[in-house]
Amino acid sequence: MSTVSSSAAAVSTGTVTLQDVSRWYGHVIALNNVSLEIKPGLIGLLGPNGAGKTTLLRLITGQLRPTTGQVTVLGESAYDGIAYRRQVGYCPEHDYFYDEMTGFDFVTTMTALHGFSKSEARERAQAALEEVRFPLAEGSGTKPISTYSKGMRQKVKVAQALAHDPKLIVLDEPLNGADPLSRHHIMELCKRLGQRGYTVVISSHVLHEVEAVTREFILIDKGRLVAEGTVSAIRDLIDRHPHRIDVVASDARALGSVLVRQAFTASLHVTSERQLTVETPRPDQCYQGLPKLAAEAGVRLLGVSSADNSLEAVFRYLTGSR
Amino acid sequence: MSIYARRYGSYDGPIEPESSRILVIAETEVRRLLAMKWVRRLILMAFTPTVFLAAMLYFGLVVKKAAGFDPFSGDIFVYHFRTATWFVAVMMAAFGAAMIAKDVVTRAFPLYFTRPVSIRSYVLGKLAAIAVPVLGVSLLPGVLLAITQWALAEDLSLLTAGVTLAKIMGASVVLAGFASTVILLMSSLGTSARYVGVGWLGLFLFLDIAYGIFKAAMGTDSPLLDLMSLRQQLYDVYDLIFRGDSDGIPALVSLCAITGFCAAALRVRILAIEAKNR
Repeated sequence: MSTVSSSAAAVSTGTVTLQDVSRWYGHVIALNNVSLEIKPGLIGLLGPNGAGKTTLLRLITGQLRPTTGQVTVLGESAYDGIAYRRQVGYCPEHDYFYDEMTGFDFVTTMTALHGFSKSEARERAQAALEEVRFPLAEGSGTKPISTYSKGMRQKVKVAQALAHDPKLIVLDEPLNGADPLSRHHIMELCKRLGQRGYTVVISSHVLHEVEAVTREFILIDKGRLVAEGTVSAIRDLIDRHPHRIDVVASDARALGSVLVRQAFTASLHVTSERQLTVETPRPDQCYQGLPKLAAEAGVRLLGVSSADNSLEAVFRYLTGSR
Repeated sequence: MSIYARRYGSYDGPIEPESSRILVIAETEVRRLLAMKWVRRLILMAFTPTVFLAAMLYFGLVVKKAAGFDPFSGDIFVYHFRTATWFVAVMMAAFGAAMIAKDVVTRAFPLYFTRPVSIRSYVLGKLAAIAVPVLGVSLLPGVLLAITQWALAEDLSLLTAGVTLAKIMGASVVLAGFASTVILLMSSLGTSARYVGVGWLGLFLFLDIAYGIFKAAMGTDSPLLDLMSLRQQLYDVYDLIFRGDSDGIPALVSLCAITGFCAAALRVRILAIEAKNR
């Protein structure tokens, strides 16, 4: 028997590297020359339907072989050998279940396939199901999966991906069909795992929910890597796209007359007596300068916000889906 | 609190070797099968002939001289395995056909192959899962018959009983190995378990009917002609094992060749399915 140790120190070394990776399905390209590195923490993988998210996740989990390029997971090639899979937890988008099994048996079996003893697998299955707030106490764990709601099935899928304590956790649309409370629990769990140094890659199209728990993203569209990094870093890259900042002040016209003379202001719209919108290619300078400029104009600054800071806005801009 | 913070912050325990996954897969599949009422009933039904044969053994002692039936010969086991063959044929169609076909149609391969499970372990696990119920209707009743025979005999030695048990095991292994490998290959070739099951029964029966027609038309009893029928090949092997009939040798060679071919083809097929998914 071999022995593994999953200490916190070992956890922090987990990374995924894709080098010039392309993947073709016949004449259709699903992923086009993607190079990126995924470091420990929670990372959101975003993209519209058909963008190549699932293909990317299947490449990372070793289910697909890249047509060209190299995928390395935890220092090993993702499709040669199976030992590294011990450190990977995968929650597929679709339901791959044996419906006549109970949820508890299913998670136990999936955990045992990682090499745990029966008793250890049972303990881990129970803990993982409790962690995702699966209603074990109500006896759902002993009912066949075929009787489960979509949300319960999602929880079982997430639990089987976590139960063996993997360093890399790959969750493909884990929020699909889950009720709001479950979605919150799952996202909070992912956030905690990311904070503890696990590498958690979560694919979702529910942008605001992902945005609530992480600032690190990978954006792909039509098989291409559109952007990666934090929302603000990605936003900074879009310097050709003026950044809209909504300002609420005691006198919008007075503040506007000062702002319009600044080099960072591309355009300015006074929308009401107390509100104005500044468009700027250099939002950082604008944010820093606003309090001082307001003071100079003798205006009280009541609020500053930007819809363009949201992930959705960045995503819309980058994918051209305005 | 995270499960890792609560219980699994550091796991330094042992990890089972990769081959242990064979048992996990087999156990899971067997439990799934036995959870189905009709599967349990089918297996129980397969014991009915055994009870009948055990009764034959008992009453055979009384009517032995009159009927010319020797309850201590291997005939009783030949009858047992012949009836078991039909039960196995039905069982293969009923649940063996779904073993891989279901995984193909539900795209369940990621469940296995995103884990440290090799194709070898997957196939062997599935084979073992089919072989267990087959052994349940061939080996187990066979052993019960052997025990009954030994209990009723006045001078049956332990050595004779041991040889009988070895023969029963041999016949069971041939039956289980052949049936499970063929059905698993067929299961991997289809996506509908129903069609695979019907295909298997159709093949089994069609070859047997064709064999019967040829045999009647040619008026011969050649062991080579027996190779036309899967059922007859198995019967010939039982005759070889329990009666020492050397006419069963071509059938044994043929069954071993079919089993080996199906095992090799199965491996190629699984690799192809995985490559297609990749």
